[in-house]
Amino acid sequence: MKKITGIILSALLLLIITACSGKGDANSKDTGSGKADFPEKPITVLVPYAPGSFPDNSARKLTQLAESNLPNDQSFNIENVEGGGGIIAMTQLMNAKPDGYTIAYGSVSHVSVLPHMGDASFSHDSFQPIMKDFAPIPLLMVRTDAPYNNFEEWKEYAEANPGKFSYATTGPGSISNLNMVALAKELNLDVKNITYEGGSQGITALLGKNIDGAVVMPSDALEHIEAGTLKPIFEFGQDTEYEDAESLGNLGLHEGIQAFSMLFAPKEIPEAELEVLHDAFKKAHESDEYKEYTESINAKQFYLNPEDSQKNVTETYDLVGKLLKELGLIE
Amino acid sequence: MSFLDFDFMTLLTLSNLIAIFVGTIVGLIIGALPGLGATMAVIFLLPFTYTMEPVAAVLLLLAAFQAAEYGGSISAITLGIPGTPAAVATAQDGIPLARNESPGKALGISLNASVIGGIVGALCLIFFTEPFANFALRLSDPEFFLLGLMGLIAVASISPKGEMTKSLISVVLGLMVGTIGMDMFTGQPRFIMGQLELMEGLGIVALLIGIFAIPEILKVVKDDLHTQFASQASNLSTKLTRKDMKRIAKPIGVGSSIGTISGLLPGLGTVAAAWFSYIAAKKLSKSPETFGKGNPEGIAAPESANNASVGGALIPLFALGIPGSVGIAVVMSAFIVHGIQPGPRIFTKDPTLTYGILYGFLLTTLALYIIGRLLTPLFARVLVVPNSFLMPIVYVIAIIGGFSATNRYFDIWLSLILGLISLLFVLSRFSIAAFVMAFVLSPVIEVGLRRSLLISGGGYSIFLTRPISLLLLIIIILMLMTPVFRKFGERRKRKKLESNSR
Repeated sequence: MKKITGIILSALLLLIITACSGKGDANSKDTGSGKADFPEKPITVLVPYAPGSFPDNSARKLTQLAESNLPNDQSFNIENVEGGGGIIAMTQLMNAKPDGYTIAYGSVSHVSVLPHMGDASFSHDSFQPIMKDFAPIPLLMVRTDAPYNNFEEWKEYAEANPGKFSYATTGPGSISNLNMVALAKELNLDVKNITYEGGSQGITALLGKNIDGAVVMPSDALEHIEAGTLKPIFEFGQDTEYEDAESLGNLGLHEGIQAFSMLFAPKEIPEAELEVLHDAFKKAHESDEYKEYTESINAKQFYLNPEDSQKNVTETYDLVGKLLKELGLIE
Repeated sequence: MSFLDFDFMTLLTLSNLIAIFVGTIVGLIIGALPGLGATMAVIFLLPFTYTMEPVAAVLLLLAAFQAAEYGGSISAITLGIPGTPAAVATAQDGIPLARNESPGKALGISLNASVIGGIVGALCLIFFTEPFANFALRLSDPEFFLLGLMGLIAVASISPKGEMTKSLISVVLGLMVGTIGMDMFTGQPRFIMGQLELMEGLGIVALLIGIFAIPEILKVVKDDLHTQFASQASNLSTKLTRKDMKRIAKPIGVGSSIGTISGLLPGLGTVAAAWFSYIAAKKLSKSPETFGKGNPEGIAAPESANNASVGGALIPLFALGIPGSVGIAVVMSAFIVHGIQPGPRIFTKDPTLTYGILYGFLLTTLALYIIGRLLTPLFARVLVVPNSFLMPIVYVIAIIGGFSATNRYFDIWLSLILGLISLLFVLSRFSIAAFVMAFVLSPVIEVGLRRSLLISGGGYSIFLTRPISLLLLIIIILMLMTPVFRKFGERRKRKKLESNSR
C-alpha cells in the first residue's frame, strides 16, 4: 500500500516539476548537432510585461515567426520579467553576457522615458538595438453622444469649459499622458487627467460615463469605433485612417511621441550574432502573417535597422527629456 | 444567428474535446499546487495555444481556468495551505472538516459546489451577457470603494469571539502592506526600501506562499511531524449522501449568484466572490455558530462562488472586450492571436465561433466533474503520507511555485522572510485571513476613493448622487448598526422578561 502511494506521489511530483520548469525542456531540440554556428541553444527573450498583455502578444507573435528563420533549428524562449515598470528586465539585459543568447523586447518607455526618472541604472545608449518593430499611434476617444465631433469642436468645448473635460491615461510618465499633457500645454487648455491602470480600464470608465475621454492605443479602441459606441477625435501622429478624426501632424501641431516597440541586445554583442538576429526578425517582420497581425491591432510598421533604431531612441530620449523638464516632472 | 441555432457538431470535434480534457487536468494540478492558481494555469498553457484551432485554443484555457478554481481548494482542504486568496475562505471550514471528520467529504462538497457554480456562471454568460455587461458599466470607482469597505466590515464579522482587536490589527497591517509599490496617480514609489522588485507591490503568489505555506509547514514540523493527517483510506471517498447535497443546496445557490456578479467587477473578482458568499451563507444558515468549525455550508458557498465568477468575469470580455483580471487578459490574448477581437460585435461577426466557445465553456464544467471525481481521491491520498515525508515535498513545491510565477529570486527571499514573520503572528493567534483580505482590498479601496475624488473635483457628494453607490452606503450603515440594534433589542427583551417575572 505504502509503496503504491509512494510511486503515485513521486510520479505526481515529477509531473509537477516538469510542469513548473516550463517550456525550456520542451524546446531544447538536438543542440549538439550540425554547425557550431550561432545559435547553438535556445535564445531567451526578456519581455518586461505581464503575460497576455498587448506588448507580450506582439513579442510572442514576432518571435514565433522569427523562429523558423533561425539557423540550426533553434528557438526563442519568452521570459516575462515584470517589475519596476521594466527596469528589472532591462537591468537584467544590461548585465547579461553579450553573446546573443539574451535579448529583450522593449519599448520607448524603457529606453527613452525611464532613464530620465532616476531609478534606472541604464540610459538610452546602454543597449544595442536589433530592430525597430512597430508603433501603435494613440488616439483621443470620446463617446458617440459627445457634443463635439472633431478636433476644432472639441477644442472650443475645452476652451469654453475650463477644468471640465476629464480624460483617462495610464499615469505620469506614460506615453499617453506625456502626449496629452504636452498638447494641452501647446493649446493652453485646462483639461483633467485621470489615471487608470491600463487602456481597457479607461475605456470602461468612458463607456460607463464616468469620464469624458480616453487617450488609448488603437487596439483598445477599435471594436468600439466599429460598434459605434465611441468615436476618435484625433490621432497623435502624422496622418490618420479614421474618418472624422484628424491627426495632429496634419493640423500643424507637434505630433507626439511614438509608442514604439524595439528589440534590444546587450551593448557588446558581436557583429555576426547581431546580424543573425536582425535577419531572423526582419524576415518575420516582413512576412504577410505579421503584417496582418499589426493591421489587426491597427498598429503601424516602422522597420528601422540597428543604426537608425539607435538614432530614433536618442532623438526620442532628448524630446521626452525636454518635455518632462517643461512639465516640471524632472529637474 | 441566435444561441439556439447553433450546430453542436462543430463543437464536438476530437480536438475540442481533447483540449477541454487536457485543460481540465492541467488546471486541476496547477490549481492544487500551493500558491499557484488559475492565472498561472492559463499562462502556462498559453504558448501551446498558438498552433491550435481558435475554438480549441480558447477552450483549453477556459477549461484550465475553471479547473484551477476548484483545484485551489484541494491544497486548502488537504494540506491546510490555501493556494489562492479565494481559497482562504474555503479553508475556514475545509480544514476543520477534513481534520475532524473526513477529507474526502470536504473535497466532495468542494467539487460538487464548484461544478454547480461553474454551470450557473456559464449559463449567465450564454443567456444574459448584455444585461450583465450593462450593469457592470454602471459600477465604477465610488462603488468599488464602497464594496471594498463592505469587505473590510465583513472581515471583522468573521473574526472569532474575543479576538476582534487582533483581527483589526491584522486588517490595518494588510491595508498598510497593500500600499507598497508605485503610487499610480503620482508615479512615486512608496515604501519600497530601495528594492525595485517592490515597485509593483508585493507579489500575491510570493505573499500567499510566505504567509500560508511556510508557517503551516513550520507548525506541522513543530507539533505533529511524526503523525499523518488521515490514518484510514476509507475517509477519502468523495461521495456525498443525499442529505449532504440537500444541506449544501442553499449555500451553493447563494454562492453562485454572488459569484457571478462579483466576477463582473474588475479587481475584486474571485476573492470578493468567495468571501462575500461565505459571509452571506453564514448569515442565512440555520447553524451559523458552527461556521469555522467544519460546516459543509462554509465550503460550498465560497467554492461555488469562485467557479461562478469565471463565467461572470467572461461577460465583460465578450460584451465589451474588456478583461477584468490578469487571468482573463491571458484568455483574451489567445483570442487576439487567432485574429478574434472580443467586443460588442463578436456575436454577429463570428457567431459559430462565439457560441462554440460559450457552449464549450459549459462543457468544461462537465469535464471538471468527471475528472474531478477521478483525480480528487488521488490528491486526498496525499494525507495518508506521514508528515515527515509530506512536508519537505510540499515545501519544495511551494518554493518552486513561488519562483515560477515571476522568475525572480527576490520573491523566494520575500516568501521566506514573510513566512517567519507570519509564523509569529499565527502562533500569537492573529488572523491571517483578515490580513490577506485587507491586503487584496487595500488597492481597491485606495484607488477607488482617490479616483472618485479626482473625478468629482474633491466633492464627496459623488457617493450620494449615484444610485448604486447610495444603496451600498445604506447597506454599510445597516451593517455597522446591526450590533447596536441587537444589543438594544436584547436589553429590551431582558427588561420585558424581568417585568414579567415580577
